[in-house]
Amino acid sequence: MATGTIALPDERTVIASAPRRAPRILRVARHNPLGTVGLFLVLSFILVGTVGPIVAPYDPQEVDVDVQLQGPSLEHPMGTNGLGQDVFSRVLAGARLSLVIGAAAVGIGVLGGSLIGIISGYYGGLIDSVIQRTGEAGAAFPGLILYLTLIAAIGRGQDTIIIGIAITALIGGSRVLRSMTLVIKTSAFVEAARAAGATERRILVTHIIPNVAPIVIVIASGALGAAVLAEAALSFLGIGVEPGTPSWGIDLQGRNVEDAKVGNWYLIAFPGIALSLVVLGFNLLGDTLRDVLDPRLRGSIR
Amino acid sequence: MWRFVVRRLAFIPIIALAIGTVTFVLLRVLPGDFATKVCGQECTEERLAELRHELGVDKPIFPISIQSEPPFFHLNSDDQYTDWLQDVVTGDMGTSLWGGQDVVEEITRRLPASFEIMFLTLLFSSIIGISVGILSAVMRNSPLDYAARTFAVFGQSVPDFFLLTLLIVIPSMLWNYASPAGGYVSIFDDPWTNLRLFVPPTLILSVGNAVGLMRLVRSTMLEVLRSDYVRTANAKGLHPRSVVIRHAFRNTLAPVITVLSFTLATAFSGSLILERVMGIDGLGNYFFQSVYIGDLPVVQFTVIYTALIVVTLNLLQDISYAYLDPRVRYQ
Amino acid sequence: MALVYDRFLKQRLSRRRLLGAAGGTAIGAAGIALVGCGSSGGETPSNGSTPDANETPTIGGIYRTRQANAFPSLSPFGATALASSLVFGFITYDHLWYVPIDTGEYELMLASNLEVSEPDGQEVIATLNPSVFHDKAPVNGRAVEGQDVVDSWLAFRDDPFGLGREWLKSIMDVLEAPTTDTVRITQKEPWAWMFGTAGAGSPASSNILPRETLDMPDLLRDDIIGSGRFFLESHRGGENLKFRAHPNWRIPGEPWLGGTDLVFITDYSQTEAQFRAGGIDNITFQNKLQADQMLDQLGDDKITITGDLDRAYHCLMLKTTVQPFDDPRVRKAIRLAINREEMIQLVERDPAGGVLSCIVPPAQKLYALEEDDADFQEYVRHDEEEARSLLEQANFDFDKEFTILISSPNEELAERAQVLKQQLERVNIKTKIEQQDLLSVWVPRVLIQADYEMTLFTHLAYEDPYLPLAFYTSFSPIGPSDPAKGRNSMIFFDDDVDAAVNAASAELELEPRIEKVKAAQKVIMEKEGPMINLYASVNFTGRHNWLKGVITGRGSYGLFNGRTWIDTAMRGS
Repeated sequence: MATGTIALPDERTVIASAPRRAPRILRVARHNPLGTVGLFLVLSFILVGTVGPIVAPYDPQEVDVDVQLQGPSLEHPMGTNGLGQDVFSRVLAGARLSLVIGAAAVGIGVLGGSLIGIISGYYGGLIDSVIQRTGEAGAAFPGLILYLTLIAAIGRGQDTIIIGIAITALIGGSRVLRSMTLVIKTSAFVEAARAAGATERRILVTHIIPNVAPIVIVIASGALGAAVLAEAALSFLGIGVEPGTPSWGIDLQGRNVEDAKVGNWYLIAFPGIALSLVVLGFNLLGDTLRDVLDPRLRGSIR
Repeated sequence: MWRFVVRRLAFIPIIALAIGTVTFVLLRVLPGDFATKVCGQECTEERLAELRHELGVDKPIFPISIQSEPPFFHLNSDDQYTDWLQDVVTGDMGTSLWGGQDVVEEITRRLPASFEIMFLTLLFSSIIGISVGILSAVMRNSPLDYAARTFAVFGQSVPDFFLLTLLIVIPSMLWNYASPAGGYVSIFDDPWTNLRLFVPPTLILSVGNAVGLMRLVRSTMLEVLRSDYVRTANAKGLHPRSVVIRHAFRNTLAPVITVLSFTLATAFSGSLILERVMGIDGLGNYFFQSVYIGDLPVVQFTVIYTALIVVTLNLLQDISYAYLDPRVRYQ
Repeated sequence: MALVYDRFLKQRLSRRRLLGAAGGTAIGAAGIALVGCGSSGGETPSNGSTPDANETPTIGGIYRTRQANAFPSLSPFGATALASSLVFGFITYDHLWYVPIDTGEYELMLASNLEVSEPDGQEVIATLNPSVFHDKAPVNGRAVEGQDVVDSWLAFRDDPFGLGREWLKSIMDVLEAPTTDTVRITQKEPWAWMFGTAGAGSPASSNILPRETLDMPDLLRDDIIGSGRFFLESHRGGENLKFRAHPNWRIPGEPWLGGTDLVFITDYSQTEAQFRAGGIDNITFQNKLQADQMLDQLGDDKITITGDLDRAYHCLMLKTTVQPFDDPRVRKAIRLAINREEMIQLVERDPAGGVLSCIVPPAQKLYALEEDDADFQEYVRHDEEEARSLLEQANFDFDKEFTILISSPNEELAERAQVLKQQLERVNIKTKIEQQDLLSVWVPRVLIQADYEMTLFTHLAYEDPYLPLAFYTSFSPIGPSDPAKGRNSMIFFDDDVDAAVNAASAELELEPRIEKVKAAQKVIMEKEGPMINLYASVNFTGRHNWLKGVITGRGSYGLFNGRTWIDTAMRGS
């Protein structure tokens, strides 16, 4: 179940193959209808997150006594909540929040993690052992305590969530990248390059990096979906963003649930569906990317 | 093989110590120390100092502290870290700062509930995941297969806290049904109530967990079914079902174990949401509350204990993997 | 006899004032609501009645109600005691007397008789009814003696974590037990509020414990031994407490209930589900919409819904040492920026969901200012223009962002804070909201140490105006103590306010005291007291019709009458 933990392909299930050329987009799209749907959802999410709050009809935090708990209508396409806030505007703003947090966290985490993983895998030796064992320990560390420690140290808010998720992504990403690097390092053409006299640095740049790049993309897409879910889960538990901030997680708990039970189903339906669609999109996209870039990975756990 | 195992085993206490120390340090640099919290109305500087002394937090943290004059470090005769190490070695995990109860007792009290959640989740995930995965692979591209795969994709996307809320709201509105309140009841005391409390939420959540497993089983099985030795078995005229069970299934075990152990490890923290929404007092909830209020001994102990479990599970997984797939051993 | 107290405690609420209450709700009554929490066990709705002449009560039914929070400790002492005391302070412990919040006349409990010195009631001698403690080791059901009362109260006085022990510490003078069945109390000065919750009638600090248990902290933490109507039979780690009727309760034949079960339910949806299924006997709704829906679903032959004006009231507290809250113009601006009606409508989902509150909350009908009082009108006035201009005049720093602290978990409070934030934003005051766990963070940090800038919270349900006034004085029950100036949680010290409040407390005649309380309120308002009172909610509660015998207007003390009962035939269990 979508639990809000970053779940990345475990290093063990990464089975390397020879590098592939980027396939033709259209053929790919036709063969992978689900992936196309996923791509469409992800792009929509990015679009809505970027542009949405600008075109939102109302301020998502502004309260309005006159329009409390109204069902979907022309003026309020998704209805209004108990404080008179427009649900549609809140969903749009929630998209932006998720996008910003997700992109920042995953950007930092996956990029940083990949770098660490590549270095660790490539250079091996003591550095590798240290990093790998630290990574295992880090993965065993309950994310919650790390996160709550962060809150105590730097306060609650968006930045804290970003850092918290980034650290988790970093640890996971580094482990996967490390094993990928290991495999490529020992492959035939790298040996050939070395025999031909290429420097280590050149090998790194021209062989290793281009071949792990697709994996990084796959991981990033999976991590982004998980990051969106993580923010929602944390806000749901009450340790995420400030109360009142338009966030899908916040809108799925608290008084909205009470009001929903009295008949205002739209209060939780729309944020819940939005969240599910976004995660779905990332899942589908991630699956297809994996299939396309390396079919031997098909079916590995999320 | 044994050297492999022993090497990995040796790492466990090291990791435990590392994690313990990191937690130890992290918790002590937290602002808002416990002494001020419990100081109360008549709080004076002396009282605060007294409390800190009682709690043992006025001592230096490490046995060695840095100072600015030569020789730039000095040894402390009495420090918190050594105290803590001594406690760990003698098995004294301390008492909760908040209510004074013994930490080990509190955790033991909540173990059955958490264990049951983990067990049921694992059970349902495995049953659903493996059986649907096998069926789906064997009846490839049938309507069942498509239905399962579509459901799988959707199932992984819906947030579990959302589903759990619906699980409470919908039966209540439609049938006036409520899951039994009043917290945990042991399965030995009242099996029906216990199952009524645990089964619906774990079942719902397992469906999501099962999805990953299902897809893995399906794909691995598909690969195996295409492989040479299975084709040979079929050519020999073996009944298809026995081919599946005796040959294909065994070889799908390796990745399955990976998934299962992964599920088990996350079941511990993943159960937090389930516990909070369903009102079950288990380890997840206890841990969350303790960190939230800064109850150091509880958090310390729980973190180490969790880490140990995860690391041990990793080790078991590695061992079973090495056992099942000889190629791995020689890595 | 106790003429002095008879005169000034008779707060017979006149019918005229009652029916003026908003929404035609029932007689001013309250549930005891924990600060920041909803109902928390032991709460019964009013609007019940004693059995009809032709109805025979069934004895022995078990009353089941919700417990929202676990008790880390059952001890009536210590940092966590407040929660537990309020929930079962009157169930398991006995008290000398009690002043029901609806009649305002003291009722004798353990005390069978009071001798009060005239003319100013500074000495009270109470004779005790024969009574025994619960039969548990090491007490084993022995008789309650005067010395138990004395030692218990002194232990409360000396408890460093106790909130609201001012009467015990500063007013009470002599406390002794001249014989095994009498207790003598003298006060240092004439004090009108002795019998109330701020004095010797507090459920938190007038419990009578067996004196040998007073220095057994382990026992106190895990068990409760008192002499009240019910004894604690079992609990699981501070949850799911089960109480059963005391077989040797001093009133034979009572209590009619066989016991009480606190059913631990953290989640509100679960609570509603349990109530629907009959798993608990009563429920406090979060708003009127839910009450209406429940009534629709179950029908009024099955349940009864009542709306009561809560004695608890909501307020915004500002710390005066935080710039620029020391400037009365800024405080006034904030007061003007708040639109109470909008807040009530939004948070309570219904304009009838709340009643405007001045310094003394509206449920205290005698002492609260009338709504048409000019100063009241001024206090609750809403004027954004004037607020903005006042802020300009005071050179308010519009770039600064203030933090509003609220306790969690509490969803209405979170919404109220959001509305407040929006209203302040309309006058360009920037704020952000931060939640803190109620018992472990908010109470010690905000209430006790005053570590906050702004905080929004809900006061407890006081039954006399002493505490609502005392918060503004240098003898406030909470807050850090300044050796030179006194104690105040807003670091606000004003001699005029102190004088006015003291004058009211020293006035033993009823009518003049009412005038003095009103005058004190006006002084506070004039000085722009840094605690701005917002409104009091109307609580909607529901109970199954098989819960009978509840006394009107007793709130959580409704069980306390001994004659509540469960119609087990109707409930089926």
